[in-house]
Amino acid sequence: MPSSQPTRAEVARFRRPWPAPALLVLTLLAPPTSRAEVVERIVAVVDGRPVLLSEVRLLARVRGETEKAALSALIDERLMFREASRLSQAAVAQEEEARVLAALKDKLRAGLEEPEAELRRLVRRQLGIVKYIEFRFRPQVRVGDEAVRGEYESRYANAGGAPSLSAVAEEIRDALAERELNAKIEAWVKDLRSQAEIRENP
Amino acid sequence: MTALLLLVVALSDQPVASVRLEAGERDQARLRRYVDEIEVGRPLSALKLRHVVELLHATGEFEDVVVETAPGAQGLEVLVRPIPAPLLSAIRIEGPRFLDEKRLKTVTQLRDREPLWPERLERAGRDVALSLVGRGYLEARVQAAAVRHQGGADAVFQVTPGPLARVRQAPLSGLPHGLKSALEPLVAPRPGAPFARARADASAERLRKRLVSVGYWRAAVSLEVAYDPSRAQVGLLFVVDAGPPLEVAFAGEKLPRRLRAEVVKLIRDGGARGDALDAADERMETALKARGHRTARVTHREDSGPTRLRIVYEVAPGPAARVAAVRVVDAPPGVPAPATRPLAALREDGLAEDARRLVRDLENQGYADAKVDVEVAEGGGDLPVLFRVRAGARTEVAEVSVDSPVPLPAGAAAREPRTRAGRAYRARDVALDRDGLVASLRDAGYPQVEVVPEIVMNADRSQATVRLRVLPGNRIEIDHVVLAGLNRTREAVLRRELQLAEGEPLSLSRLLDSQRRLGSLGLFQKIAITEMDPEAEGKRSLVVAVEESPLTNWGWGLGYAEQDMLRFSVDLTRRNLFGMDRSLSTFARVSFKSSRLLATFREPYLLGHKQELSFSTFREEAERPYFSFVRYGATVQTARNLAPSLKLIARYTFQLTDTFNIKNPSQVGRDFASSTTAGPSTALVHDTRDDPLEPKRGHFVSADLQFSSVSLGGDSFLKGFFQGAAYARLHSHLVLALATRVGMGRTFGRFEPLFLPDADRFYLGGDYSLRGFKLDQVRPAGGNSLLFAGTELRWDLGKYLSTAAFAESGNVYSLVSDTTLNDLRYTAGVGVRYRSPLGPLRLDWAYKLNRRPNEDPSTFHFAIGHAF
Repeated sequence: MPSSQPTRAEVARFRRPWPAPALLVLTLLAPPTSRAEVVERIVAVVDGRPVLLSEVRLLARVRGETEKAALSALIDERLMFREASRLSQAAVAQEEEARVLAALKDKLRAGLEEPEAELRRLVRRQLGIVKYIEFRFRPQVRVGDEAVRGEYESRYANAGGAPSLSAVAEEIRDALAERELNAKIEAWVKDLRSQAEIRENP
Repeated sequence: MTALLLLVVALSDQPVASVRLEAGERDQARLRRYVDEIEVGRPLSALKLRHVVELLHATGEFEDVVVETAPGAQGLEVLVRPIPAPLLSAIRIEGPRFLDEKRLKTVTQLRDREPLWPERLERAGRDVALSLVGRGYLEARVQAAAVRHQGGADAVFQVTPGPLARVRQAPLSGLPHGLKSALEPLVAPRPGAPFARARADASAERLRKRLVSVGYWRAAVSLEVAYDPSRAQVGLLFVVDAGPPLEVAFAGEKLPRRLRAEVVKLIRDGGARGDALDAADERMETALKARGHRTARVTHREDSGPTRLRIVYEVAPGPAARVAAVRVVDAPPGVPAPATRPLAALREDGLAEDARRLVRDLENQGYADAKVDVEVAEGGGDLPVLFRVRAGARTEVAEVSVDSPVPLPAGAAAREPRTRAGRAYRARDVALDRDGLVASLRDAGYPQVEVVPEIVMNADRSQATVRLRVLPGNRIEIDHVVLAGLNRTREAVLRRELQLAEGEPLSLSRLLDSQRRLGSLGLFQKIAITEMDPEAEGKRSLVVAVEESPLTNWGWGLGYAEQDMLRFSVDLTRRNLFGMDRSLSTFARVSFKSSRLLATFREPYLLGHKQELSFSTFREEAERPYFSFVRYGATVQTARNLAPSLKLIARYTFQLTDTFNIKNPSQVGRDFASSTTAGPSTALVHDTRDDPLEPKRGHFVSADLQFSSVSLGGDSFLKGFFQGAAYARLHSHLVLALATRVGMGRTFGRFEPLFLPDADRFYLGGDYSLRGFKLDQVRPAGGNSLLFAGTELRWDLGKYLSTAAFAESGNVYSLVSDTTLNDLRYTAGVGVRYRSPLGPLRLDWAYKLNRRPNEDPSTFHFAIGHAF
């Protein structure tokens, strides 16, 4: 009755390293390894509408951010633009769109050729949001003299050779206005996110 | 860097060698239409790729769509890999079964094939927990999870109910003296019972209403709940803030009782709060002003009465004014007189409405700047009213043009505008022309179209040049129509109803029509047609998302008929057979004197055309006063709408009738003890009634022709029946109904008797015809010919009741040749009707006007529905 155990010689042959030429031949004869790349997919869904990988990559490139940060920004933009597109004052004129698109193309000229329609869509979305913010939030921003004085004092309280208040008042006012506007936008986006159904695919 | 490299691949110039869709065999054919956007042999377009992913996602079936490319010998190999979403297929419970699956579905509002995303499941779990809390399981915890499988996913709820909380005590606090015994029985739940928040809240509301009913109009009852988790007991406290008992008194001018009652109700229902008290002031002032008291003023104050707080209304009506005379001055000819008439109460609102109407009339005549001032003295008494017209110049249209950069749709170009050269200039006509143009351009695929009217007047404003400037915006075509939410229904069923074809302009009216047609199928409980990407230019895809209705419906009913008395019916319908909108319905009705069984199969599309066909089999058995019969057979029927209210019905019938218990055999041909009908019949129906159950206007006309022949396996006869009814509203409460019926039939063939088969003869008398007689009593054996005419006046007595007076004449004749107008029977009567959810319940009493010997003078009928 033959034994089912391998003989010592068989084990030794099995363990012997394969010669290098044999490996080379096998590598050449083997079918090419799959170099499949994911070129598109759904990375998130915002209120039923998909956010695609290509959109995230485009925004990441335009803003010089990571894809993760770009995805978050794109979700915010989607939500903001949906609100903005309901307001006729936020409608984007074709000339404005063309001007900003040309500037963006200049910025990206050294890189790859993204489809123009994609860039145009991105430009329209961002312009619409900016116009909405200017219409809705900018008029609410008020920076009083007291706030300017307070900021001046906190900036230059212990600094020697500080400029006079009148010399830097406008600059401080603008900075405070920008800060307040940003706070309003953040609160708005937070509110939009809380009302939206957002699902990110793993 | 990786991202950039990937983008290079996506935008590579290499042509696409193959496109593979990773999906089951059944889905391949359905989804391929979307994937075919990627063209083989051409470079891969990132835009098209993106569109494919969006289209597949829009079906609602996938949570992700991954597209991979790999370089091959012939070019790029593209793989589209949709990843199924966890669509709900079943609901399961783990743990104690406090709720069954059906109840769970209601509580969570989860729908079949709904995606079970984590947020949705969390919400569903919360809903279940809240439902258990509502039943007294205050510590209930519910975990919901989606368990995926081949056909979708199951929603699994793991329920940990915790102890059942019971009410330890439920006292009332703050009760007014003497009301304890009246209010305590209203407390629920009682001590020892499981705590249910909804019951406790309902009890608090009952307590409040009882307090209001005994005069505490400002009463409020709040509920305090204290839970002791260690004993699983709940202490309830109903805190009553009754406020003072209230009553209303009126001082000054005496008001009509009805108005006073209305005011008291208004205050009581409003909790005697400030706004309710002010609303009562306003209601009384309005009523007084309608009677000409132009300066009427009503104020209120609160006085302490002997037992109650009294709300006193001071009514100061002021002098009443009446219209002494009405004059319109400086008006051009053709202006109609105002509605205000001499001797009527002078109402400021009526005068303002008259002035507005005059301005409108003048504008219609071309006086675009017309104004009308009303001049009337202050105070009361008989006062003359003067309408002073400042018409201004009359403007005529000199020229009309439409300035459009795109060709106008055929319909809009052919339609003649209301604004035409040489006619009076009317702003309203211009607005209607603009709206018409906007509607037709929207239908032609310009959803953003704007039409701006530009009016240029000459110096003396006698001529206007009208130019309608069209700003069309982008033309939108339909790219794809994506169907979502289909489970059992086949795509073809939806697509054949859609009036939106790929490649055609996106038309709003066609979109609405499609939605209406899908709704009328009755297969879906929700239908939404939305644009997939509203930002896209040029071409847009539409998503038709539906939610399927349950397949099986059943119902039962109790009815009444004079002959049958009480009868019971049940029906069961299985819809959407084979996913093709076919249905099979069965109906059974039984009473002490009759029964009817019916099964119908319905095919809505015959041989690929929208042509409904139904096949029915039936068995009917009835015991009538002068004979009984059993009838069974089958019918094939098809119908076609020739116009919105005109329908043509064609059918082929084969039925066997066995007649027995004949009380007067000499009147019935012996051969017809059993009869067979076999042959085609046709009917034409024209129905314009506003309401089939309770018509107030319109008419109903139908003409039937039935043929049966021995060569087709039946008896040989030809029978026609015409009926018509017309309805007119003579007054807001009065409706006139007229009806006529003519029936004639004859047998043919060498061996056929003269009379039609018993059950196919015409009969007269009963609750729906010649109501002075009992059922079939006019000629119990029936006849080959029938004449009937009736008229009825229906007078509404309020929301539920109405009364009627009617007169009818007619007769039944043995043979058509016996038909004569000289032998008509006449009856008349009165009745009352009660509007019930089943239809009008009718009690009629009718009297024979030309009674014959041995006949009862009158008859009562009770029935559901009108006689005609």
